[in-house]
Amino acid sequence: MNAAIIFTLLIVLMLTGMPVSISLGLTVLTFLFTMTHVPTTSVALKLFTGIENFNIMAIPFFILAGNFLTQGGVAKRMINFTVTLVGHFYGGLALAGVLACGLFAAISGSSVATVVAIGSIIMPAMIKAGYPKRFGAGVITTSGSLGILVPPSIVLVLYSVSTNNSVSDMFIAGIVPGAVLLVMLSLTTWWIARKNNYPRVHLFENRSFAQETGQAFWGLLVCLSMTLLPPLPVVWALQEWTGSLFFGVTLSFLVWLPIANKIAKRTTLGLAFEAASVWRAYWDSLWGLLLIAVVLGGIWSGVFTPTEAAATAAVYAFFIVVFVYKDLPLTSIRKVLIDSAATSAMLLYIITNAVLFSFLMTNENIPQAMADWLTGAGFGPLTFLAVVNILLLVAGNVMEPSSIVLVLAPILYPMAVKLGIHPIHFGVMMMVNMEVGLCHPPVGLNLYVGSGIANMGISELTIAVLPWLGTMMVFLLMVTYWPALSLWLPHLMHGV
Amino acid sequence: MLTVFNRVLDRLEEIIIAFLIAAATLIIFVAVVHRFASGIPFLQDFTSRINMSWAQELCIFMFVWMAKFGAAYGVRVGTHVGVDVLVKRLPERHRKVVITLGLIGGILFTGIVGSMAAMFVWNIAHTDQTSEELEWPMWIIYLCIPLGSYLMCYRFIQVTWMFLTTGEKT
Repeated sequence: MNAAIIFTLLIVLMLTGMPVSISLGLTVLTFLFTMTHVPTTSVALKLFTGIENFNIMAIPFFILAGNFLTQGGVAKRMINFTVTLVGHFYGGLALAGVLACGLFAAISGSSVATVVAIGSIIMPAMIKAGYPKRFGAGVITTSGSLGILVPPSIVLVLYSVSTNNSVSDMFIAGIVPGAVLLVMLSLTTWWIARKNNYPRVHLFENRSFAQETGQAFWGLLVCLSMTLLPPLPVVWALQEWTGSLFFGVTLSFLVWLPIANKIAKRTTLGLAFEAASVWRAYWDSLWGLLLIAVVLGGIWSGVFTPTEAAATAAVYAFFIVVFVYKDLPLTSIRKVLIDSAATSAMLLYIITNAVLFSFLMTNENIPQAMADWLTGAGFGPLTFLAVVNILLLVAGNVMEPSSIVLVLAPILYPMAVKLGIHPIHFGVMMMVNMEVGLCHPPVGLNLYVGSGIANMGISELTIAVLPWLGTMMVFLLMVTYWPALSLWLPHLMHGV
Repeated sequence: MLTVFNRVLDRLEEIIIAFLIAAATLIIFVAVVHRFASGIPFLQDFTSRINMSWAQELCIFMFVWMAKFGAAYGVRVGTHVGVDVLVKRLPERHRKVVITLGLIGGILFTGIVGSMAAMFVWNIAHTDQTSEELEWPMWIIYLCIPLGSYLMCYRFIQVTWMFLTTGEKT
């Protein structure tokens, strides 16, 4: 009974259009004053301690890093790089866009930032190259949603925090599904492009497809070897001397990469054609790509906590955007800071109230009661997952991802655990649902951003994204009913 | 008079949140660098003299303060997300009523929370609770909840007033 009142009140308040955080808070207050005897002081304390958690602090840092990166030309350099790699396939520019979205998602934590950063550069280029607008807008709007699944991801942090799971494990779990979705989206793109014979990017005249692919691959191989191999003896020597592998790696690469970059600007090591283009684009985008290594490598190897990695990423992003690429004048920094602070504060405020809300729920034993009811009614995990998917997709129609995760995760999670579903698997599944929700109306944020960039109405864009949305639904089924896809890497790395 | 006050308040809000996010980032970055430097033998004499164990706590305090004041700033510029699917479909007259109700809900919530928190801080101020690492008095740290909530309440009143008089919603 109480549960019904809580949920009805919450839904009614939210439908009035007031901020999600305020709806949550008012629900809690109404309930406190009328139905329970929890002392109000403990609620006031929760207002502070609710976000007194160092893991949550990763969110403002990732938002700040993301805002620096979106301002600068990091995205442009990444696109140049991916065009040299996959541009010669059918729909080359679109494929390059998908790949660039994947790369950018691995340095920024937000889907919207990914769509803005990549879309605003690749969309005009695609239209100029003669692609139909619908195709371009559809590709970028959907690929941008990779930002949620590919670590670092702000929504993943929110899930981990509201369900007490390790942020690092969740991040590592996002890698394989993210890569699989990237491949699936690329295949869809390529298939549509081939069917309609969309243009390919030929950097040189009269080259066969095999030559182009081979050269691009060879170029990438040489680039990676040039980056990784020369410092290895130094790493080994330093490790012998100081006993710290991390110190050896950091110091030798700090010294080597600028030197290598200088060398690479002067010579292409005798590489020719596509390989030489890959080489140039790679070294130009090196500092952006390196952030992937810093964040993921740091968290993966355990030298950083996710929050420290986020803070380091923010400082690093600031440094490369302002001093190395010089894309952002010093005067705009104040605006970036204020915008990031406002976005973070908005999220932190929802978190505070969501913590109050889940405190109330647990106090009333609601999730447990629902879980008992579920098991009593003979629901198995499979049916439960199907129901959760439908619920999340419906919620995705009216709310944006962070609010959905903060409101629903504390309710659904105890049930999932009770039914024996792995926390990490459940989290990844929620993320994929959020991705789908971002790409369809009425509140798909990516749709709005995409329609802004492509200058196209929401309803037209909704039709344009359908092929990729279908791909994502197939992927959702895979993630839901094939736990190993999400669990394999965390098992391997951390033995979770 | 009121406009001057508002302008100063706007400015102050922006400066506070921008400073807090920048400072917190730098502090954590320095703490990370310090921790790595501590792992290197020949730097240890130097690093062991600096204690950075307070960094996490300070960072959390700064972000909680940033969250409270940033939330007030967010009311002013309209960053708080809500579910507006239904509201958008309502006829003009009803929409105005629903939006006003929503804003009044905001005033109500922030006002109540501000007062609850003020009482709470008042009680803490009569104890000698301090934070774990920095040993700062807790009531000063908790002060951000009543201050931030009342500021947010003020912003909601401003926005409601604006909406009722000019019909514009930020």
